[in-house]
Amino acid sequence: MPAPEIEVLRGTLDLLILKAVSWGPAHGYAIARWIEQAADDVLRIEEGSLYPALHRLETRGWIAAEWGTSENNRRAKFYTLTSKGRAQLRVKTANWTRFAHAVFAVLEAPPEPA
Amino acid sequence: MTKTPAWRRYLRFWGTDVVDDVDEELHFHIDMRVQEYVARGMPEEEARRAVMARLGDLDAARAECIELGKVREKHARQADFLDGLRADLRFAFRSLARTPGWTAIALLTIALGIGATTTVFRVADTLLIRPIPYPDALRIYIAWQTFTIDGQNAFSGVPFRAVSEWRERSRSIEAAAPFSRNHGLLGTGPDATRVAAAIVDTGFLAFAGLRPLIGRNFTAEELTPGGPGAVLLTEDFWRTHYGA
Repeated sequence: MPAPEIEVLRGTLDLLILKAVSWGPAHGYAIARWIEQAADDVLRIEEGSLYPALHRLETRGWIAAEWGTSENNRRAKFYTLTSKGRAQLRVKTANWTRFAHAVFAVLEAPPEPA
Repeated sequence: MTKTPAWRRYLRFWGTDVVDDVDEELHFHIDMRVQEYVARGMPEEEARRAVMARLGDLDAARAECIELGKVREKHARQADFLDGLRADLRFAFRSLARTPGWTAIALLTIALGIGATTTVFRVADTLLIRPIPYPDALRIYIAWQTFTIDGQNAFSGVPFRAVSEWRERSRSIEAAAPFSRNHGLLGTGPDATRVAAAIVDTGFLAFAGLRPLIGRNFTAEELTPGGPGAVLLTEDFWRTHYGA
C-alpha cells in the first residue's frame, strides 16, 4: 500500500498554483495534475481548496482568467500569471526555501549537549 | 493589470453569469478527472462514482468562488464606468478645443446666465426671503398716516411727537422708534457727495437691538430742537469712507 498523500496547506497551495501557471495558461484541472505529477503524486490537491484559491488569486490580480478551448475541445477557464503574480512567485519562493532550510536545520540539529 | 479590450464590456451588457461560470468550471474539472480514471482502466460509471467520492462536498468551495466572482464583477463594472467617463470627458474636451469660437460663446452664455441668476436671487433673497436684521423681525411694522387730498388718498410719515405718545400710552405696542429718511451732504464744494441718512431718536438703537461699536448713543440734549448736531455712522460707511 502506497504512503498516504499529504494535504497541501493553504498558503503553500497559492505558491504551487503560481508556479504551475508560470509555464503558461492552464485550466484548474491541468494545474492540479501538474502539481500532483511534479510532486510524484505525494501531494494531494483538494478541489475544495484549489478553486477558491484560484479565485482568490484572480481577485488579487496575481493571476488572470480567460475562457478558452481545452485540448479536448471544451470551454474551459484558463489562468495566466500576471506580472504582479510573477513578483509574488519570486518573493514566496525565496521565503519558502528559507523556511524549509530552517526546518531541516532544526530537524537535523545534533542533540543538545547535556 | 491586464487591459481588457473595449469591446469586452459589451459582453457584460447582458451580465456575465458568475454562478454559471463557476459551475461550468467545476463540471469541467469533474469530467476531466473522470476521463483520467477511465484512462487508467476504470469503467465510466465507476470512475464517476470514484471522482464524486474523492471530491466530497464542493458546496462550500462553490459558494466561495461565486462570492469572489461577484466581487471581481463589481470591480470590473466600476473600472468600466471610470474608463467610459474618462473617454467621454476626453472626447468632450477635444471637441470643444476643435471649435474655440463656439466654446467661447457657450462659456460666455453660461457665465452670463449664472451671473444674472445669482444677482436676481441675491436681491430677492435680501428683499423677500431673509427677514430684516432686527430682533423679532416678524413683529415689526412700519406705520404711516393716510389722508385725503382732493379726493385722492395720500400718506405721509407720522410726526415724531405722535410716536413718543404711542410709546408712552399704548399697551399693545412694545417699542416704537421714529425714523425719517433723509439725505446728507458729505464734504464741500465740488467734492461734496450726497449720502443716505435717517433722522432717528434715542430709542432707535435699543429698538433695533444695536449698540455703537465706537462712541455713544444720542443724548436727550442732542434731540431737542436747536440742540447740538450729532451723527452715528454705519460700520460699512465708516470703513469705506474713513479708512477704518
